[in-house]
Amino acid sequence: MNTGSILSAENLTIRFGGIAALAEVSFDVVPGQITGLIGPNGAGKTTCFNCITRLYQPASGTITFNGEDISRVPAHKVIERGIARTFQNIELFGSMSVLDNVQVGVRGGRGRCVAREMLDYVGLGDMANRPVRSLAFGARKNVELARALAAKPQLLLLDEPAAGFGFEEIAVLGETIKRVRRDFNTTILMVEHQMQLVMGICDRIIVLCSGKKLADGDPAAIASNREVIDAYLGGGC
Amino acid sequence: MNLRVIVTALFAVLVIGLPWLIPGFLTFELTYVGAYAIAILGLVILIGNSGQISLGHGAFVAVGGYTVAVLLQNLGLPYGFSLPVAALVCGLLGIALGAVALRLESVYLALATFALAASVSPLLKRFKHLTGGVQGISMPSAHAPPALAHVMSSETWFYYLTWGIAAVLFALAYKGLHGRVGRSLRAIRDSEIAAIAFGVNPVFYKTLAFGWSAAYAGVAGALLAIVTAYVSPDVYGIPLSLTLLAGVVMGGLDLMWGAVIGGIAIEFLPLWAQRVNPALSSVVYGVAEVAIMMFMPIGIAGALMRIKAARS
Amino acid sequence: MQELAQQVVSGLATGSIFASMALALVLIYRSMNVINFAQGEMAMFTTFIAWQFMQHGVPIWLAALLTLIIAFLGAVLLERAIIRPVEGAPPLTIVIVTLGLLTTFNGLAGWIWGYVVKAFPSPFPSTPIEIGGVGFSAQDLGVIGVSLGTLLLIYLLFSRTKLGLALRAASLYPAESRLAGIRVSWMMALGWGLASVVGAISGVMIAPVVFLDPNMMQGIIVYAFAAAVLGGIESPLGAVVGGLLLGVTLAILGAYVGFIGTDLRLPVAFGIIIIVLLFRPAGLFGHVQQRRV
Repeated sequence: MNTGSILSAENLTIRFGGIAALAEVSFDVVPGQITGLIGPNGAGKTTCFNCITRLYQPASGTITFNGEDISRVPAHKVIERGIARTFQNIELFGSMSVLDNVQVGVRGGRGRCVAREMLDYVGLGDMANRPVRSLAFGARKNVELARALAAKPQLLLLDEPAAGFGFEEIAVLGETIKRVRRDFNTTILMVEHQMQLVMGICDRIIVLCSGKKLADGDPAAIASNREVIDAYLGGGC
Repeated sequence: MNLRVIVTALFAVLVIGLPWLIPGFLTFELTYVGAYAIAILGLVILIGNSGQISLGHGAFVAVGGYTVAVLLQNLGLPYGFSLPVAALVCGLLGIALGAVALRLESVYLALATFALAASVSPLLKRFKHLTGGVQGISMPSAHAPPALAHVMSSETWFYYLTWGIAAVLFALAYKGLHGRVGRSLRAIRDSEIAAIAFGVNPVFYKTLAFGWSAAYAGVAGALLAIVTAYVSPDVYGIPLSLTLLAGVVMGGLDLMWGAVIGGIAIEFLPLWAQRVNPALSSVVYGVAEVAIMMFMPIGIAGALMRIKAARS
Repeated sequence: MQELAQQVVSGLATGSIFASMALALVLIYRSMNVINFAQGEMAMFTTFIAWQFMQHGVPIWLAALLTLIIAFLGAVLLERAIIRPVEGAPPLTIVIVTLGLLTTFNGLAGWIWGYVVKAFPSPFPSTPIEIGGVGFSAQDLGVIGVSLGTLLLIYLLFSRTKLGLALRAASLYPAESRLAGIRVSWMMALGWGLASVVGAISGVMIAPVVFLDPNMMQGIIVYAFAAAVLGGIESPLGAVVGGLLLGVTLAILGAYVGFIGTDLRLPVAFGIIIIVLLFRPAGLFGHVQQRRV
């Protein structure tokens, strides 16, 4: 384990019905960096997130965050350790207003105040009192982001933030993520399929394939990695 | 905001003043409304706010009623003491059921609690020496305390007892549902995994909702037993649980004051429907439930609020 | 020994009713992940319709046939009109809708026919049938025969016919089935129709024994739930095995375990439901569902 890392996964293994969704996966996330987690469908990326956020219990392996072994921490206590996330299929609280949704993310006092600040930050300040159900897709993704930011996390997990976005929206998203890293001084780990985004803003990329780690390095190294290219072109791994 | 305070104040005045203006039997019926409203409020908390379905709350109404009856009969305990005991017993049983419910997804939970509702009557009949079996337990009719007896009739006393307790329980629910507890419950209801990701402990809140709603159902059962001076097994079965469900659906699943509307509905509908046909109330409940869930899941109270919001 | 054999057969008879109702529940659950809480009341209602036919002089077998047709068509109509619009709704909504149907059918039956218990003629003779020197009730044997026969027909329909294949495909792989040209939503309606027919047969079988009144199925549906859960809520075979097993178990417990007797059978069913759901949610024949986030 790299002592300079903020998050460290060691030999993570988890099985669903006999198939290893993750098999001895190990990686480190360097503080302050934007790290991409990529791989073909079924590679185990979201499973990885769910292990980190403790929704799943790995069969073996450890997860260390800020030097603390969080492998046994209950899922609802992950946020207070400083890890917040967004979801691949937007998971907002449909019966609540936009502001109330964001407020759920706030740790500590001044809930409504902090929530409003976060909404302003993502440009949704004037939607605060609308029912969150009435917002368009892109706006709902921003509410999720605001909710995660409201927790002032040290590590922000973004699960396919570009899913459903077009070319221009992805470019805007890239700028937003870089801005978030700078303004909130937070580390970002991002599952993503959009190579344009991944190659554009990630400092480092981890590649998973069929539950195993295939490669790990900076964008240039990954882009020229033979095995990675083969995996994406359908050759399996 | 001001409107809410004014309406509540007017409602309070109405509730306090009514018994002096209406005949005794109507006061009696409104007492039942109050007790049902408490039970339905419990379901508002459980089904409406935490999203867990229980078709077995008739069981807690039964336990509440029988606790009062048994304590009176065997220990001579006056209901001033047995009421809180009933609430406590039901609260604990509710937490136990809630712990089991954590492992059951909605449809299975509905199945299991349906079976629970069906089991109440057989269990009550079987343990005769405690519960009086099929015949139930008759209690001496309680009266107003001596200090008040010459000012008001027993009916009026029970009315104030019930609505007074209801007021306290509603205030408590208001505080809870509008605060952190309510937000956490509704977050779990809307998206449990997001709630967990943002610090809400589902085990704690879901069992809390069960215990809380069970305690309220128990209080309702205790009040009904005191007012009726009689408990018997056949009153507490699937029909009661389904009637309470109809009440919470008609009132508006997640609206507190919808519980009062639900209580009015389930007390008076059968009385009026009887004149046409004894089975009519079931048909009305059933059709109302289907129609409301298809077209207007927010219930009557919710619809009224939408109308008010649309006007402003 | 004789008594044991009689209890077992009696248990198999009630068990085959449980099995049929459980199968009806499973049929619908497999196709649309919905527990039809109203299954029992629908069966009761159709039994009343059969009774009404017989009041007008229609012979019992013809009345039963007409009733099955009405049960089928009625259920298809119900699915189209009421269930289809709420198909995608949260589970809570659908549960309440089917409960509303339960209450409605119960009330309608009470309204039309009243709550006075009525006798319902049995299609089977009342003289005992001797097998191996033991006298068994013809009613029991008849119920077992008809119920298992019905279950066999359903099995053959699903496994040997094109329609059955379409039904299975539609419930397991709706998107792919549509691409293959199967009218998936009509398959769902068909599922309801079949379940209703199975229920109607059960109603006609049980009414002679428990007598006909609007509340006659309220206990039985609980046992059907227990049987379905015990067998595995997605497994038709499980429903049948679960039902028979439950029927025999309750009969034996009732006769030989004094503490339970016939009074605590419903709590036993409740106990079975809880224990199975807590410790082996997939039941005897179901598959464990992994919860994927």
